[in-house]
Amino acid sequence: MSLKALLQRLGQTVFILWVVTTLLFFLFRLMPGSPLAAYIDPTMTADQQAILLHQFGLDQPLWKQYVLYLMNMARGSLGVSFIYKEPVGGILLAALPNTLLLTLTSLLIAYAFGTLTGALLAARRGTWLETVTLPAILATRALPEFWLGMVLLAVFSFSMGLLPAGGATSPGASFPSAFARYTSLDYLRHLMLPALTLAIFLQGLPTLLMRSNMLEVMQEEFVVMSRIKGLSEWSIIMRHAARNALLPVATALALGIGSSIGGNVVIESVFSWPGLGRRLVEAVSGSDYPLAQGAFLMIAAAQIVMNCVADVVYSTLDPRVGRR
Amino acid sequence: MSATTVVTVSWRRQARDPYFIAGISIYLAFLLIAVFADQIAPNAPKDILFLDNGSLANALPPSAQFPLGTTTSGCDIFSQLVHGSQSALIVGISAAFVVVSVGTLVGLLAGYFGGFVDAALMRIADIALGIPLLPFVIVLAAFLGPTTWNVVLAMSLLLWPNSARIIRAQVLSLRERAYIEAARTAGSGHFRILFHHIAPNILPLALLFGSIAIGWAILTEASVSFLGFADPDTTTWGFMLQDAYVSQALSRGLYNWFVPPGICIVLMVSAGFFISRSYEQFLFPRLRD
Amino acid sequence: MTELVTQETTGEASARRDVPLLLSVRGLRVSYRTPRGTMHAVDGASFDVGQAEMLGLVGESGCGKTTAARSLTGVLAGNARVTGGSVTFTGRDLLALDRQDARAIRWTEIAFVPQSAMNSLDPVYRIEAQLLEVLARGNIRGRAARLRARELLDMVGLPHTVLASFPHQLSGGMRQRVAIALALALNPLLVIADEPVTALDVIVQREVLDTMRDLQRRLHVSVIMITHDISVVAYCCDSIAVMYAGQVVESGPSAVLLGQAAHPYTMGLCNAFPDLERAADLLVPIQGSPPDLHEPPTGCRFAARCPFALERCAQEPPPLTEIAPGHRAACWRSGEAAALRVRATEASTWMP
Repeated sequence: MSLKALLQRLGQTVFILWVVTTLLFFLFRLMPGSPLAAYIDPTMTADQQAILLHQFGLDQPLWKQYVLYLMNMARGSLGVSFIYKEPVGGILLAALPNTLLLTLTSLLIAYAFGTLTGALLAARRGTWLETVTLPAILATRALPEFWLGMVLLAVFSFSMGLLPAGGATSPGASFPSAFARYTSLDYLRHLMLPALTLAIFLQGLPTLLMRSNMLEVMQEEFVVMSRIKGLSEWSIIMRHAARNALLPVATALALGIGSSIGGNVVIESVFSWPGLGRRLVEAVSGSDYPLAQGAFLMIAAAQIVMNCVADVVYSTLDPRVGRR
Repeated sequence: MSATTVVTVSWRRQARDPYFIAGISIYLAFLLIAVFADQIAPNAPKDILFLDNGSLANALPPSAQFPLGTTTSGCDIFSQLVHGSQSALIVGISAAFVVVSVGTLVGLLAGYFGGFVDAALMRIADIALGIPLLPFVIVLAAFLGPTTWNVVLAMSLLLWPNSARIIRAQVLSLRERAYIEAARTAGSGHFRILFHHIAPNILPLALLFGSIAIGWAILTEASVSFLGFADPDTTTWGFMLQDAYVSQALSRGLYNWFVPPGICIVLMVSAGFFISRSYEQFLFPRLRD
Repeated sequence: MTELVTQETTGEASARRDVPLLLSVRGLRVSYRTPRGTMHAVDGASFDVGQAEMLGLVGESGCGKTTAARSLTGVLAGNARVTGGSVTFTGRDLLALDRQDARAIRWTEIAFVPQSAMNSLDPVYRIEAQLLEVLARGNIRGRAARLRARELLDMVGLPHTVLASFPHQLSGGMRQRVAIALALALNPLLVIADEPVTALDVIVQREVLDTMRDLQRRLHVSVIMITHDISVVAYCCDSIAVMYAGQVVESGPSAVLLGQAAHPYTMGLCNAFPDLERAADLLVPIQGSPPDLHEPPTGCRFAARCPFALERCAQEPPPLTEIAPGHRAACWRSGEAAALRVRATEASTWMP
């Protein structure tokens, strides 16, 4: 992508981020009660209340509040959680790795499986394999992922006792470091079901997309030409057809990361997985406005940034785009 | 990848597609069930039922009296399931209708007028695409109250960009066609051209997109219900699943409770995908056309 | 291309039959399965290509020339099948080869220059990579391959900077030259060029044709040039085969065929292009359109549009017969060709 186009795209991203934060600012002002209610909980001490009042300018005119709000956002100070009585930023940062690990693991599995299966289905067009698997895959896109999670949980955890029933680690387990925790067997065992559920739900898109692209690309002139050139079947499918068919799939992956982080909300709830989504639901149910704002913002930011990454990735992979 | 060509819908070809027929049949079946719900379901969905001997009819396995058994509070699962189809259709169709209408309108305007109008509308679309759907629905439901209409509102605000993009691409291709040029030379005003010439070519596409949008709407509503932000007065399939989860149906192995609602959701959403299967581009909202 | 210039060429040699034949096609039949039934795109086509000879395969669109030529490469559309005939290439029957052998001769012995190079080059690979890929088929790799790639570009008159470009960055003419370079990479015996200059503008057309002609001479490569434009074949081909409705109706050395056409269709084609030496008002198109090949007519397929048709023509199909050494025509009235040619030059002959 040319530098100019890249800067333009980045500028757009910043613009959208700004718009969304502004919308959020006004949205949370919609709540019943005074503007104070967004940040101050009556159970806080007077000192705490005073600090927050000052930090967010809650006794000042609206426009001043807005400016302070933006400045605070930029610094990462998002208020104090009503439920946990701790800074929101810290709580979210602790939850972030769990969400990221879940999202990335399931996407990786889903896309690896999807691209291979999609290419295979395209190569086996019109066979019984296609007639049987295609509706099944379409159905996976129609699944409510939390329901799939419930079923898998019931079968593998409760009925068969093979895997843990929820959470990210066993109660009482302790680890020498964060890294040790995320790579421990305990964590992985807890990660399996939620990741598997998400992967099944997510693979439909790359599979169908890859298949559709392959079918289209196989009709293209240059694929026919490569056959006339006498290239091997492997060369034709992998180096030419798949390489061209992969472009939209790569874009979809980047987009998928963004939208997954938000969509994981339900999976995190089913499996009690301590990620951003779960914090958001908790916060909203418990009227913990600072935490809710923070969680929502973090999720939205992830989505917006990944949309931008998707754009850049696509134009890098496709030499026809971005060379203006 | 390849240039956008104008997509024309051939209803004759659709009518021969087994997927299309399957999809329409499923919709019709659920429509009938929804319309005749009161006749089909033996009990009201939220009625707490008792057995002849006076004890609470809770967590009963399927039987002749209760085809799918009962919940832990004593409600008839089958009746709940049947009534659930009503809200599924209402939410699905209304949300889909709004999403597709807004999307089509935006696509028409952006594609036809181009320039500033196009740029502005597509910027707004980018913003809508940047906001995560479920979190937004949750927040809105929490603040404005957990009613069905707020769920529909939230979806309408965020889901229109995909249909807008596709419609816009079609309009861009159509705009260059000779008969549009002819109409303009003959002095037809913009809106006449838009609604008289272009829109009829776009509508079939919009309809097919609508069938997928119904699926998204039902899935979103189910997710929101599951998270506990549903309208407590209606019985939706999502509500049933939430109820089951919260009542420990999973650990108690009450598959008859939580499996059927999920299957119904899968059927209805799949039907939407099947109907527009030939137009695979709808299944994949792309980045930029 | 607006002049009908005939050249005395080596096509004369093949007329004397002492130039060995590289390729001999006899009675080729290719059909397509369509929703309407079977379409007999090529229905008994016969032509020869000699060593180092350029044959022009000419006819209007839909006459089957591309299908016939593509069947020589062994790669046809999914719904197409070769249903009859024989193709003898350097002594081997191409149609009888198994898949492995058929693939082995592709590009190494028979190469193809497509109609529109724009879509025939993979958009995500640079030109150098595409050249190297083809060279690898001939086991030319590494440094030798890179040298050869540069050599090929020199041959077609392209600067070496093209190597680093992607297809979409080149002009139409440049892409076509790349396609020619690719075709010549492994020194094939036969190159099939499908409408190689149709998509180009007139000035570029002439340049590309000159390049092709020059290369063909220097490398002693045989070429089948497919086109609907008779002035193109007149400009650079040694011999010509005229196709109509799936069959070859006349073939022979260029000079002979153009100067002494024996089939009415060929006579009509010669009229359809202006010649600086003749009056402009003699531009006469042939009325009517070709028959539907789903149900080919009995008898001569051109009879319906032929100004010289007899009753016999509609009933019995005339065979392709040799009327002079190396000159074949499929017409019952080929004996009267000289007289018919005179009448063919009059516009009134072709009016309905």
